[in-house]
Amino acid sequence: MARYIVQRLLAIIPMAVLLTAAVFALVHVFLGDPVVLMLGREADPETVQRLRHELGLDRPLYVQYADWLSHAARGDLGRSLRDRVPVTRAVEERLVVTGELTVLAMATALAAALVLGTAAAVRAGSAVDFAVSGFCIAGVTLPNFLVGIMLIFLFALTLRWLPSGGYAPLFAQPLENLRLMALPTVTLSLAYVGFLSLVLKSSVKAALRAPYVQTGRAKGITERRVLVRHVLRNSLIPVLSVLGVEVGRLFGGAVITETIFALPGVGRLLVDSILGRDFPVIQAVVALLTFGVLVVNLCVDLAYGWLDPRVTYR
Amino acid sequence: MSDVRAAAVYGRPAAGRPRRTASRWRRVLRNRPLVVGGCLAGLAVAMALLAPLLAPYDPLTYHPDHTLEGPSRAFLLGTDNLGRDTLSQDIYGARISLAVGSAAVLLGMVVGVPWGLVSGFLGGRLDYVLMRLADVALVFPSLVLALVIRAFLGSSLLNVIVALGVTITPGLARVTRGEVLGIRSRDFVVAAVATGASTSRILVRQIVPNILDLIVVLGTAGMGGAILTEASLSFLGFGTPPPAPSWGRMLREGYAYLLITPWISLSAGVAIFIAVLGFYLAGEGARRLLHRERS
Amino acid sequence: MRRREFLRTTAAAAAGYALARGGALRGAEAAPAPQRGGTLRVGWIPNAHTLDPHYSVDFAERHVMYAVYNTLVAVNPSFEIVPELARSWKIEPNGKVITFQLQPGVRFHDGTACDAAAVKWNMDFILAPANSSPMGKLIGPFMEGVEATGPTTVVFHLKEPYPGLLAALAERPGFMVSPAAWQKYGRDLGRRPVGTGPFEFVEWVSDDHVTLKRFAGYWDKGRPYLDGIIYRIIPDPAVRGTMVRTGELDTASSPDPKDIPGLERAQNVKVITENPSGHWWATQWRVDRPPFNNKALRQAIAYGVDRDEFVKVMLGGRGTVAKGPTPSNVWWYNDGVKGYTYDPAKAKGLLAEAGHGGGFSAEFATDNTPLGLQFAELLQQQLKKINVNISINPVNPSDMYQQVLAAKLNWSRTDWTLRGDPDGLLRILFYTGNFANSTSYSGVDRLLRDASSTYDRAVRKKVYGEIEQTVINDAPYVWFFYVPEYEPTRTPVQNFAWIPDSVPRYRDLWIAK
Repeated sequence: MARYIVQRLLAIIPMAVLLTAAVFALVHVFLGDPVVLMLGREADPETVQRLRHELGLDRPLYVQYADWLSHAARGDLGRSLRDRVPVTRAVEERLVVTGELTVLAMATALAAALVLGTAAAVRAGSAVDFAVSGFCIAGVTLPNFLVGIMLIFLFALTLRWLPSGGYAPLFAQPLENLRLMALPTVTLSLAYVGFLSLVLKSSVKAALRAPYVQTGRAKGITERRVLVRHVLRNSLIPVLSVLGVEVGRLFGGAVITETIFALPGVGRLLVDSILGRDFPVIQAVVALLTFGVLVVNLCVDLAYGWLDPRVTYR
Repeated sequence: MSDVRAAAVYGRPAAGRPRRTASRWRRVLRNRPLVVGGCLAGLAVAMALLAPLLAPYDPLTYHPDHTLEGPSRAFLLGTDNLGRDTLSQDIYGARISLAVGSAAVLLGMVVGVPWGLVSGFLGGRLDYVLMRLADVALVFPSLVLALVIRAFLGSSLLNVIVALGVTITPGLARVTRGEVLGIRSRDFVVAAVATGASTSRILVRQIVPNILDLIVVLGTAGMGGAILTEASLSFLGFGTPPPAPSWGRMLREGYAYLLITPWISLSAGVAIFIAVLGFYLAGEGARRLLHRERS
Repeated sequence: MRRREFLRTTAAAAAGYALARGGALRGAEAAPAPQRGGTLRVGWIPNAHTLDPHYSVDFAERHVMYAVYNTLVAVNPSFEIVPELARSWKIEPNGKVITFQLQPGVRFHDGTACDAAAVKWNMDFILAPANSSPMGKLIGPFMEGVEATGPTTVVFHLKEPYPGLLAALAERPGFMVSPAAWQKYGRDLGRRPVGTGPFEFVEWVSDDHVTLKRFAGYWDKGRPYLDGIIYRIIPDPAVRGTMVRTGELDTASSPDPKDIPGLERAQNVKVITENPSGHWWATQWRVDRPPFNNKALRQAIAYGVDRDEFVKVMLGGRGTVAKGPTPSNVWWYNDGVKGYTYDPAKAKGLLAEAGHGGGFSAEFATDNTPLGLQFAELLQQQLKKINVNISINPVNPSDMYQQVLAAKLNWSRTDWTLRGDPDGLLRILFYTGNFANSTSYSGVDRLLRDASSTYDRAVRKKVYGEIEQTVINDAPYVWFFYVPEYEPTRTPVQNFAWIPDSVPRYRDLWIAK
């Protein structure tokens, strides 16, 4: 088991190197010079040249990449070209926001899916099933920026119950934080409520027909116990496997959600740093994203073993 | 809607020789997602094709005395910030969305299907390399990938299509490969190999016809995803360049005027929803049909 | 009544400067007395990256810097130079020596003194090429050096007379940073600024907000009135306006002009307007390469745009048509300067004269922002009428200027904001070979030199009139309109006044209970 984890973790390294090298090359070749941007339109060529030299941007590309990689290996991702803040700090600050947003959205989605998906499966073919399925398909196909805008229009502009955007730190102002995160959480989670409910519904339906459930019922175990102990536990496996696949996409959703609700998260950081040609930040966010997706996939694989004793690791 | 998502919901279609029966049309009509999806997607396609007949105005003609008006008899869904008719823009927007979406899917297929065919049929080390490559690309959320590519390439309609096409390609390659693996071991392919037919001949004559229906299904579902990603890109300001009316850009620009006239954003949003839902449902319906036919 | 007004000097007037009485608080003398307390929630435009004035280039940064720092001198709403950290100054008759008397007892937020030595340190810092401060290029060419001749006396030595210097010292080059703080933080000072201003820095959460609190030791006793200011970064102009309407913000800068009528009707909101402002929109092209190296073609397009319609459609009818780069509310404005009128027939005639009688096609680059695109789309539709077809190239806003300078874009949209002295903007845009002369225009060098070699305002005004007329006729730029500045605020917020450089100053506001 431990060996398996180590092997998987080691496999991440070449992939991360490959991806960051690709991004590094693309960013430098296509995105153009950040220095003029930094100095503004009143800067003269000499100052531009001097700053370029100061930042090491006049060196060959492979030297710059090797330099970046050797620093990154030691946990130093450089400084943002625009803010001159250490990249690790800039990313850390925003990771808290994106982390909270995605965890809240996923928790909401899972909780809602457990209720909706199970209800639809147990009463398959009924009006409940029909309503849930309709809701879920709408949830999956509604663009999240449309959802966000409609929520703002309704709850912030018309009813004025909730703020239209912004962020308050979770620990310093917990109540304000929850008020501010309510709409973004719903926006980001809606697609996953729909999607996970559909997945859960079909796997619960399949599990309800499985022999061990019939056996359980025959032995006189209560329906509730059958559902919770046997059916749900097995039905969660497909949910988990799609979660692993969806982590990357979740981040895509976070980019949009953070933009609509003016949340200072990693998604917006990525968009802003692309716009501002902030190479070290783009680089760091991409590396982080790669790493995050791969690690979550590993965790999902490990969770299989916990849910399904037949799975062994080699 | 991604293939992975759909596969997780409905299970992968099992391989099997298609059986064509007289009752096929009846099964098509009983297939609710296919019917509903087909109608919605058909609506979008009709809007695109018949735009000049349906739209009350030229979408680019501006009326300086009628900016940001609400719905009226002259302008059924009101006007935008330059005084252009919102309804006409919605209708012409279908052209952009469908053109960009289908071009991107086509591009994804032209690259992704051969990629999967070669990888699955030849196998070995090449297969390993090609699939790791797909994995690396799949790590990236499609929106972020499209965003980055589009930022690299600069703004033009073609670049948006390329960006979207690139995001579709690796997924298509993976599914195609899986399908090829299933077919490769079947009798008629083994027989063809035994008779010494060339690889390209087997691919074109034996394998492609057998996965063609699946490709069409994937393409239909992929359209929905491509339209959604294009709208997301436009919403973030990286999409189809003006003045061509694009639903995503209408949504973004209308967002600024929600309190004055919400119709710009809402109508464009509904249009996106209809198109995406239509292609998604049609794709799902077709997948179910295929599933049943094959089993 | 402001303390500064008592301290006003006559020295400047003696040097030929007729200082009008500061207008900032002219109306406020009759107004109710300011009340202390309250925190102002400001809707702030994005893109600030540093609050170190020596390295600041972005417009948004100035909003906060005017609260955290003081400048050596200041500009009032009529764009005249008034005292700030310097309570008086004297210009020697040869125009090459300016002696400043500083306010006594001024302290930075870290407790160190802001005296003559600190001012000298700041100027030396800017002027030292090794520091790569963008401010050095603004005033460096005219500066010989700075010396501190007493605890509160600083002498600036100039290479040649330069009337634009005082105005420059009212903006970025004039902000005084604590030398001790720079020793301590270095380039990190941009994220934890230390000045002498009425508010001291508390925190900056990237992409979210900057918080300032009242500086108890502020030298101008009794000020500021607010307990603090929170600048919330809200990227979307319309959202900023909306948040003032919903009460999530007290005030916001640069709302969407389309939203103004709605804001004016909204309850508990007032909109403070400056019209015309010193902020113009224009298009520019390369006059040294085809197709725009053809003056008749440039003039044809200048005659072919309907500026009134631009004002009507883009600005909801509230802007002012621009003849040239100078709005009517600054002292160097000349009434006699003639601009272009909308004249399609004349435009077509000039097109034919330029050899494009059968029509003309070109690419037009605009910044990829909602307003930038709107401008381009309207231009496209208008020029169709005179047989000029343009294709729109939307460029990432942060890449745009770079590509213009690199001549990758020929015809593009641009906008600039006035400086406290006419030389500031006109020289960088139109002097041959200047780094911001992105049109390669040449033709007013001698006039620009003449206008900046004297401190006599009457003479300067006349010469700037000639410069403006020449530039309008040669048309390296085609001017469209001045964007009115709007500041929607909640009704309890008092004392907001626009200054023509379009930077909102929040330091003197107060909130009625």
